[in-house]
Order: sequence, then structure tokens, then C-alpha cells
Amino acid sequence: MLKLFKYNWLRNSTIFYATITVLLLLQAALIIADSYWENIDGLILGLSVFVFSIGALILFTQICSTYNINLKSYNRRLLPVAPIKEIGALVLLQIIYVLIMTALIVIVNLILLPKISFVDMELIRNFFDSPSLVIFTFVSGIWFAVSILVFIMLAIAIAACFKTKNRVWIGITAFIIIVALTGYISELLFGAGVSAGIELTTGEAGFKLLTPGDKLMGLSGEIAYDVILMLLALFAMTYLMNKKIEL
Amino acid sequence: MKPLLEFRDVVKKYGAKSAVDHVSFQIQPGKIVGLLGSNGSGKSTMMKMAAGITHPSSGQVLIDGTGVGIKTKAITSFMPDSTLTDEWMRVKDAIAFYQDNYADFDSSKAKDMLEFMKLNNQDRVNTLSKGMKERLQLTLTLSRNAKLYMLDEPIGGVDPVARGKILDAIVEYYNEESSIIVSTHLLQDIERIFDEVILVKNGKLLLQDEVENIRINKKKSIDELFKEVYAEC
Repeated sequence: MLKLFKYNWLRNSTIFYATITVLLLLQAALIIADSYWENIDGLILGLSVFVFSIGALILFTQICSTYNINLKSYNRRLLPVAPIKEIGALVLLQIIYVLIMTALIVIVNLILLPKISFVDMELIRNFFDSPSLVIFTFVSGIWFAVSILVFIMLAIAIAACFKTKNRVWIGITAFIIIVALTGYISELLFGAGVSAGIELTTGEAGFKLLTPGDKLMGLSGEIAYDVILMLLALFAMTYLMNKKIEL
Repeated sequence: MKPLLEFRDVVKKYGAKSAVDHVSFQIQPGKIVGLLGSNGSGKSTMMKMAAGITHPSSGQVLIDGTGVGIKTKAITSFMPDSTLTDEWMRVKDAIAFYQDNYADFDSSKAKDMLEFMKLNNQDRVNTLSKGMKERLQLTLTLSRNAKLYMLDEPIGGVDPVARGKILDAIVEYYNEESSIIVSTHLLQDIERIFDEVILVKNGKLLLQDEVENIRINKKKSIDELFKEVYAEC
């Protein structure tokens, strides 16, 4: 899997380095701009978030595109390697991109946020003072990023089973159906309310982790559901890559 | 002796059309076999099924007695008619990719072949001419110590000089304990290297025989037989 990861990394490295360089230059420009024009704090913060979002989107799209290319590449399809390793190599790339982007967001915001007049730094300190909150946020972020990637990869794999011109639309339709169906079943099983999240409270409490009974164990049903969905998606992708997708 | 490649009543359909129609044959180890047929006769589909990247609609494809899968991919080296490399790669990256991912890749053989083919490690794959790309594909494919080699149109669309070089490389570098299947419809230069030929037409197997038998019994070269069989195609 690591060997496949290496070649996925090499294929994407130019775009990755270009994206990170442009992103850092723009963030640096925003930090400098904020020092000169203090009355546009809101705009600067908004632009900073926008630039990070675009950067993350470019890298995410790149991973999805790599999977699509790999499914159609002779050099990948001929390898004596289980499809799950091909999928795992891209999931690993996604996790590494998330880690790098998180590190950049933290570094930039350590410099930028203290300059923004309306940001309550005490609230942010409270957040980082609570390890469970930080870990929960981080793990949720990684899980979300991996889940969304796996479901998009499943949609790409479904589309790749067809040889028609309209398979892009087949992929998009498949993704919408997967998301709608899993969301609907989740709602049936666990209700519509958000059962886990971070609650922002006023006063001394600041942030707090909101779970049923304030215990993560209360989420075991939803966690199990998410894990089962992920395993089913991986199984379906492996099956399609082994039996249905042809060159 | 256990056949190295066996097709058992294999059918491959695309919609209503049969690309391969109830084909059965065996190939024994140590043979260079020509898989001959006009365009669209099912040669590439048969090779792709043996390589594990296309699946039969019915029937069985066995390599060294095992159904096609990860195990057979490890002993089969396939050169398709499309590229085996990524656009970003240099020649050295393509070699490294094979070295990293195939346990049977022979680096010293690859080095010899690169010299023989006059390929430069630093050249970018996407700047190579068609003939040089074919040479690189062949280098990658034959540098493995595989049991079964399959070359899909290795001389299609290349000039006579490159064609000669490619044929020389096939004979020079293929592992004599293994078998090699070469699909082509360009026979003039290549028939000298075949031990056996398989003729396919419209997805059906027409003939499988030793080249010597064909020359003695039919009193024809393979090229003449080919022209006769495919005259109306």
C-alpha cells in the first residue's frame, strides 16, 4: 500500500506544492493586509477561510481524480495487488493532506486571529485547554474527510462499471443516492437531531462537548452505523474493482 | 504437462455482440505463440481476460492451473496496446514503478534492455516517439521474469527499424522457460519468431497449430495463410 501511496504522491506532488505555495502566499498577504487596514477584519478573516477552503477543495478533487485515473490505468490494474490497498493508499493520502492543512490552518490562525478585533481569544484558549474537545474535533474532521472520500470513490467506481458517454452523470446520481439513502436510514434509526457536536455556551463554560448524556459511549449506535457504512462501501468498491470494472 | 494458459469455452459479450465466442485452447510452456486476426477479431479482449482486466461473460480462463486473479497477475506480464506509464514519469520512474511493484522484476535485465533499446533514463515518457514508447513498454514487460508474457500489437504503427529492434528484443530477452503470446495482424516480419499460431476471426477460434505443420501440410507461409483466411475482412 505504501508503494502505491508513493506513486500517488509523486503524481500529485506538483499540484500539491503549487497549491500549498499559493495558499501560504495568499495567507501571508492577508496577514500583512490586516496590519495595514484594521477596519476590514471581517473581510480578511472571510478571505482567509475562503482561501483555505479552495486549497482543501483542490487537493480533495485531486485525490478523487487520481482514483478515477487509477481505475483506467493499465499500470495500476495489472498490479498483483488487492483493490483494498489501492483504496487504502488514497485514503492515506487524504489523511496526510488533512493533517498538513490542519497544521497550516493552526499556524496561520495563531498569527491572524489575535489581530482580528472581534475574535474572543479567551474562547479559543478554552477550546485548546480541553483535550477531549480538541481530539473530538480532530477525529471527527478526519472521519468526515475519509467518509466523504470513500463515498465519492464508490460513486466513481459505480460510474466506471459503465462504458457509456454519460457515466459522469451516473457517478453524480450514484453519489446523491448514496448520501440521501444513508442519511434517510440514519434519521430512521437515530432521529433527526444532532446527537454529537460542540456546544458554544456563554460565560465561563465556553465550549463543551455535546453528546447524549455527555458521554461518547452514548453515540455507540451512530458510530457503529458509520463504521458499517464505511465497511459496506469498501466491500462494494473492492467487488466492483475485482469483478465489474474493465479496461 | 500442465498448460500455462487455458481458455475453457470462454465467451465475452458486449451487449448483444460477442467479442469472444466459445473459445477453447491451451498453450504449453516454452512456446512463442502468434495470436493472429484482423482488427476486431477478439485478440485484445482475449489477452485482457488473461491479464485480469476484463472478465469473461462465461467460461474459464486459467493461468498455470489457477483462475485469473491476483496470483496469476504476479506471473503474467502483459504489454497492452495502450500506455503502461503515467504522463509525469521519466523512463527511470517507470522502471522504478515496476521494480517496486513486481517481485519478479529483474533490474539488470532492465538495464541491459534500456541500452539495447537506446532509451535514456532521464527522458520524459510523454516526449518519446511512438516507436520509443513501444520499446519502453517492451522493456518493462520483458524485464520481469514472468511465466507468461502477452504482447498486444507490439509492432503496430512503428517504423521498420523500430520493428526490427522490437522483434530482436523479444527473441533476445524472453525467458525460455516461459511462454510468450504476441497478437498481431502484421505478419511479414514477425512470423519468423513463432512456434505456434492461433487464428481468430469474429471472436471464434479458427485454427491452432505449429508453424512447421502449417508450412508442411498447407504448403503456405503464415502470412499467405493469414491473407487467405482474412481476404474478405
